[in-house]
Amino acid sequence: MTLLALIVVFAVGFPAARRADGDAPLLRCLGESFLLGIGICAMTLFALSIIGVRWTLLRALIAVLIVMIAVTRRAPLRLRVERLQVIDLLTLATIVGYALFATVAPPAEIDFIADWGLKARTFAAHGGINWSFLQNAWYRWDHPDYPPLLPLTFDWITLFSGDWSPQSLGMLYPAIGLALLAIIRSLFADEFASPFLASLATLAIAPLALSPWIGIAEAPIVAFGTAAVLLGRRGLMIPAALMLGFATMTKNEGLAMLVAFAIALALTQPRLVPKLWPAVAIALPWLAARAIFGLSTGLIGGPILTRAVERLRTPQILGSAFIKYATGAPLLWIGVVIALAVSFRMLREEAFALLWIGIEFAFYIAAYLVTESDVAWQVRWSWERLVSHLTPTLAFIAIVLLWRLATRGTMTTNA
Amino acid sequence: MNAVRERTLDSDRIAIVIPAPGWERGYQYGFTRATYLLAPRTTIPLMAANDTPLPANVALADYVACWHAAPAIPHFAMIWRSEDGVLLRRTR
Repeated sequence: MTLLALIVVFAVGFPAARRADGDAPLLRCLGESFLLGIGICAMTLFALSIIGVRWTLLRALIAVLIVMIAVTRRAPLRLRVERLQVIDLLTLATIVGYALFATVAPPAEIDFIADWGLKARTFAAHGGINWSFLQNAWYRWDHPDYPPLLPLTFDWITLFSGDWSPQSLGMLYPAIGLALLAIIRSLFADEFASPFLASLATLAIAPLALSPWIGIAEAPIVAFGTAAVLLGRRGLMIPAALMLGFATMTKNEGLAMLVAFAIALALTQPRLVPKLWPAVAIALPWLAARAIFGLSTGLIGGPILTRAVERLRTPQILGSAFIKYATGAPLLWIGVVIALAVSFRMLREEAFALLWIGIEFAFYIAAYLVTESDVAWQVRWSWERLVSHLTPTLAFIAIVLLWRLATRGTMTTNA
Repeated sequence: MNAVRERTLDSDRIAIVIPAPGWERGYQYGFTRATYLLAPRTTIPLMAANDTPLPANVALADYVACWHAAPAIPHFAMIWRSEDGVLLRRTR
């Protein structure tokens, strides 16, 4: 039944992807369909809860059918098809291996048990978002202010399976990874003259797109955030804004992604900023609900400025935590630094994406400065995950810059 | 906790006894796991985040689930026991 739930997610997202990105070639369209489908299904359950309709599978299906009819574009279906390569089978095999890992057991991450899974299980039994559960001070550690897209997606799957079945929820993760890699593969195909290189570059990025944290919100935030920036970089603002909107519904970091996106856009292509309105429209209902129901956040309680000033006065504490809990993959970082250094003169061409990465990174550092928790503890348990939000985009840009450097060099030599 | 789940209803309120020395030193982890395993039942903590015991919270409970403990609590009777603990039900 989980597979059926995910197929329906895809079917729900397909007309939205066609409407939002009508010229998308096949792989991009397929990837966007699944990611937008997740967002639409989750937002539909959210809307049903807000208007007081108890969830049932039939009611949920009728509601998403109405959305599908509303967004369907009555235009002939013509999809350009990317040329696939044998190497793409290796990427597919990587995803199959990841699927085995994701479904071998129920999610064991403590954040699944304490937050995402707990909320989903509670909402599923309640037949909607249980606001009194979120307001209960005994459960403050479950982060009641966190946006609900992931628990609602678990609940979507649970509506199909009929009962809480945590092991089956793992299937969501390879599906998200497959969708993101389909978009990346398609965008690489647009960048490179060689389909072989596009498939090789996608294979290289696959480990960054397949989040190792099963049951928590890293995989969807990485997918929505990366897709938003890579599509926005191409000027595809409607699908980018929708992805950003769903990122804001996934984690609080998604709000930071939206603000970083808006600032990067204002500095590079200011006339496009108003086109971000769909992202704001998706973000607002949860922010309103959060304010109305008084759902508190653990990050900004107490004397924020005092904490920030104290930590800035003793930067060695934060610095030593970053060194002690440094994220792995040194070869990745060496490769990225070399790519950015050798293509230094071309960085301006990727100003938007690089600005977004830089601003988002600055937001994450700022969060460490103001957090209520012990900063070393916070770094230990979040730093690697936060950096993972940015690495697929960074790796994509690094590869594209290297490609441009190589091809322009060739053209210069030939001339 | 799965056995406690089988013996209680979704609407029940269950206090959680875990012999942990502090909130950060075991109680939070056990209470969190119990809350997930017993959802959507309301779980009631018997320790605050600053390690203060909250025995008065027992008065709010229909049941007391005790992990690796078997305390005698007034107005509660044991209805189930295993190697891992006991389940007490309010008698009045």
